[in-house]
Amino acid sequence: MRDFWQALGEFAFLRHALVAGLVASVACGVVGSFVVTRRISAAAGGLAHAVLGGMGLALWLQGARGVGWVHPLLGALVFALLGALILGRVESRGHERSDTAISALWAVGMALGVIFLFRTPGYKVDLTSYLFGNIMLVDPQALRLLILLDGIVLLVVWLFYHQLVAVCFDPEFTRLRGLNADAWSTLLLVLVALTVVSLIYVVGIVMVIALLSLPAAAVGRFTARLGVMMAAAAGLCAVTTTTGLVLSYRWDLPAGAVTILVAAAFYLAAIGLRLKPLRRRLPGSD
Amino acid sequence: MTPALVLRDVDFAFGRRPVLRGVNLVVPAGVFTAIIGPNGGGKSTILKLALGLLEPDRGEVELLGERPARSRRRVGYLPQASFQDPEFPITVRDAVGHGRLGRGRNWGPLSRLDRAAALAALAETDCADLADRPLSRLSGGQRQRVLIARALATEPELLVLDEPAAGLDPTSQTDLYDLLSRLSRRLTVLVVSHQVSLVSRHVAQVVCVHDGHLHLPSTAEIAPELADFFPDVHNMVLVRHEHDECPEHRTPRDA
Repeated sequence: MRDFWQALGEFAFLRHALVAGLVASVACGVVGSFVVTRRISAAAGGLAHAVLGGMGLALWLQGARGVGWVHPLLGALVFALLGALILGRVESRGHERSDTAISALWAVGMALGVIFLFRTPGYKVDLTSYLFGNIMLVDPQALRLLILLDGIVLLVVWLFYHQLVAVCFDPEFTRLRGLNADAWSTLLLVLVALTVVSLIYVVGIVMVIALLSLPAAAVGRFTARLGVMMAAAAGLCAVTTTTGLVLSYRWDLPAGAVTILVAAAFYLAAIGLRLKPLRRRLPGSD
Repeated sequence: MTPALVLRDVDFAFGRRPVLRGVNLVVPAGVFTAIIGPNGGGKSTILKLALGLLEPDRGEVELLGERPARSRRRVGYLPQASFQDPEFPITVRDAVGHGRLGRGRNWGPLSRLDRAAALAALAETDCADLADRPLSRLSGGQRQRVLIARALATEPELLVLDEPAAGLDPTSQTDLYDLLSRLSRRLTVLVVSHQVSLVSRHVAQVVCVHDGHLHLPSTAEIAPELADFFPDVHNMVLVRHEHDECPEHRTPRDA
């Protein structure tokens, strides 16, 4: 344990990793609470996997076309936003089953990513670092983008908290109040997309759903107030990512995978009988 | 005075299954009206047409003298309880605050005025002391009162409720209808219910819908079995399929 904190002082990449985990945790707790209460974790999974297409495209543009300024996270962001708009459109029109659209988005995004990466000349990109995360790869440019995404997510949620909660709780009532419920639902998916991108380095594309849903679901068992749930989920997510980083450094294991196991352990603990008495001590619970 | 709701020769079908055919209906302003009938008979469809959530295949719908899409913001609405997640983590205060959406500013926390309007609505439904409680921890009756407060927070001219007493215990059902009777003194109340004997003690007009396509501006002579249940009702409208009766009316105490 002491090794980790000593190393933190020595190595900038480790500090970047720690900060990236903490920054991503804030959006993860806030948006994850919406994901859990609105029950859209499947959509979040679809968006997460679709971003591989964008990352592959960015790397291909860098390697094959010499467009150096296109960061993989930027490609991920574009594909995630496109995916959110497509899913929002499908949900609002109702012509297509949304689970079909989610599956298609999930698979097509990954297929595009694999093809772009296959055609990228030069060094072969380590696909596993995108699929399963590698928080040690966070560079200052990526960190700035993560902070920007976090800021955007928090600002939008602060500005439109009541509209977003209303559309999750009772879309029909929201529509009758003259609000465009479909547009607000799509905005929620856009927030999920932004959060997914911020979590890619932390746990990777494949495991984003778990970090987005497990901490929020765990704290959701102890509170019946969404604001408390968001704050507590962000805190638990921060503890989870930091613990995952420390343990992976200590035992030389992949940080993303260890982080997910830590999140799962917290979730299992939350549903365990021994934690039931805590319910009475948290605000918003009986 | 402009009627609260008018349906003229309305047809509506879900796909190829007709639900309403040639329905004519007037809900006068200020009259506590109930749409009754068995489940699946078309009651909620009439509500959704009235609120502009569905469009009629034929005919016209006027809500508060305008097209529903224009006037529905002047309506307070309580949807069926089954459409909401009972475990959704939201406080009473926040839920009632949603009634202020679409009024005032469209961003940021609720204004002081909006918060005061929400609290006044809670007080009117005798729920002021529940403001900081989570909605999921309330009893069924308390929850419905809070959601009526949310509808009142919109400052409506017409209050529309879809099966407001479904699933409640008898005492809570009676209390709820007492509250609606009180509210009907200051605004038009339109309620959909399959619980005939429950609504009979409170409403001033009854509309019966059953596989409805025929409109009969009727009296007690047309439907004597209804008159037994609604001794104080002055105006009765029967919207039903020819030769059919509302099964709800076949037994004296069915609620």
